[in-house]
Amino acid sequence: MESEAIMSQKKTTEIFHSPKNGFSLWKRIKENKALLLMFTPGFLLILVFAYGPMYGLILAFKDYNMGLGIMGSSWVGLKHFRDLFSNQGALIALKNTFIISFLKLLFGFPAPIFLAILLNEVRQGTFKKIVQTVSYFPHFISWVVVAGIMNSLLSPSTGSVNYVIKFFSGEPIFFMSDVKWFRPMLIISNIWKEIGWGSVIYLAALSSVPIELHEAAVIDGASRLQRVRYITLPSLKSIMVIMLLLQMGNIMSAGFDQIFNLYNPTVYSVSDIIDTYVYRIGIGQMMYSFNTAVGLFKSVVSFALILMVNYLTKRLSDGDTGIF
Amino acid sequence: MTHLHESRSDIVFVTFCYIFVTSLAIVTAFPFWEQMVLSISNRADANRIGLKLFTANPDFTAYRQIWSSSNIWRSAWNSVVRVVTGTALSVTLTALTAYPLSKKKFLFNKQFTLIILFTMIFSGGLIPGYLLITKQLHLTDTLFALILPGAVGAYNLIIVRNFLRTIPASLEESARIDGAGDFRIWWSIVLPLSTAVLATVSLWVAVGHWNAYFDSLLYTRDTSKYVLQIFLRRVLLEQQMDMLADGMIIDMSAKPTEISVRAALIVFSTLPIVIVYPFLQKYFVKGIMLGSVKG
Repeated sequence: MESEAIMSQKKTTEIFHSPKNGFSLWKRIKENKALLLMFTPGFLLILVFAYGPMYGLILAFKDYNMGLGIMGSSWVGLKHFRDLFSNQGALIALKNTFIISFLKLLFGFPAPIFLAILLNEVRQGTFKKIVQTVSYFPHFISWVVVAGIMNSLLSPSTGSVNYVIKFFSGEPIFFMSDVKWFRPMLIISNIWKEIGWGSVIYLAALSSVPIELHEAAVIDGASRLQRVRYITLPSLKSIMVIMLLLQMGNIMSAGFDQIFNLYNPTVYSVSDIIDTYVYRIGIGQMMYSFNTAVGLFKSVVSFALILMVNYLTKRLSDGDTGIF
Repeated sequence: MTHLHESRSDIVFVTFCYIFVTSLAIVTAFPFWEQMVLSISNRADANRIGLKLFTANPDFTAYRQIWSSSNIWRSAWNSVVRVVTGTALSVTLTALTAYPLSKKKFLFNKQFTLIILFTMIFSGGLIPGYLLITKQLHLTDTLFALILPGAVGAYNLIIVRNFLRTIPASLEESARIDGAGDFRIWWSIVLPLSTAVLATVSLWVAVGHWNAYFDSLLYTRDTSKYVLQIFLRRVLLEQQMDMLADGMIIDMSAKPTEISVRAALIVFSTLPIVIVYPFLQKYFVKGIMLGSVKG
């Protein structure tokens, strides 16, 4: 018995201190002791709060029972996913998500590029700085506050926008509760909030364009517009492609914070997106399992989109600037 | 650059640039300006139809009502506590976690990095996270529910890690020869060298905490634990003016309009951002550049 114990101990010693590997796992753990200690608390939080919910995704294939918990609830297979594609509310939310994302891409994507190009033509330093300072500001304000400002600004009775409309003898518009106006409102307010901040990355790209290019073009008699067309735009091309792809990877999230703080039941039909739907029905009406399935569907599509986008970005930039 | 021959079309184009850019600045600033004016307008001025560009007789009753409401101060205090503890926790843990990841020789570095990066592209979603925090960890109505889940973000980790990699190894090696351990090196060499990137991350996280409302909405039942943003939602978006009813009873004839009170709240909650804005601009722009470094 004793000899066996010694044998087995010798064996483990051999595995962990195998002279073949030069240094063993155990030795490496000991070497990395301090680093592992520093790493553990943060890593544990990631495991609990990012991977914990991923484990909870199995709820999408179960019927949640409060008393039994996630483990004890019974399996229902793909029932919730079948329901998803026959559920009117979920389908509308899916449709709205795509429409709003697409509109934001169509109008919101070019806006900061446009601003960056125009700002780049402004040579007056202080003035440029002031404009930048002002236009970045709304980015740092929460949608809760921006929604509060919009309610006041767009009010049909006392709001300034409707004052101007009425001044030009128009009928006041109920921007926040008119299904015709709500989506345009989303697009415009999003541009208002993010155009300045969005232009930062393009301005940075433009600041690295060698000034000699412009000087040479001036000597050759190129007009400003020609320089925009043949110098500025081409030098923005690669960053434009990356930003466009990044935004396309986000298509399944149409802007929860914005919509959640702006919408109301009269405009649900045009503004309810997957995220708001999952919150309202999932948490509000406690339909946990079904909405976990809706969330899982969203996460999987997003995941696929991001992988695709990353692949494309790598392809387009010869493999050295993938997002991951 | 020299502009010897500004042609006619050039002048038209430049004029267009200036006009557009100026209009944008005005359109961006006007709503904030108007709220400021409304917040100090008296009853008559606030209800006047028209653009509120200035007010002749400033009236601070709205601010006095806010000032005397203990509900507001309590929620503002909750927000401050959240910002301070949340930012301290987040930055400490991010700096600690990023350091081992910046070392090539760190055990299982590749695997750990992959596990962390994966959280950037896939998530369990709202409901499982909600059930985890409320039903399994029982964090409802605690500060932990608001500061733990996002404490260590993959994005911030990668930014700090990338920065740490640029610190010359020779600096650490000489300390190691002098007998300093990993902790010692992290504390006395790495941290002092990375104040700039940590300041960026701190501001990032702090603004995020100040503006956060959704987690508080999910995980706060007790109204005395509301953060300011939730309070704002109730008053600004759900029109629950009675939240302010605990303020002093003002002579009814001089009672400020709801428009002014809401405007004053908006100004009040935006003030902290205005104060840190100069730093934000400096560090955030830097941060964007850091973020564009490959992860």
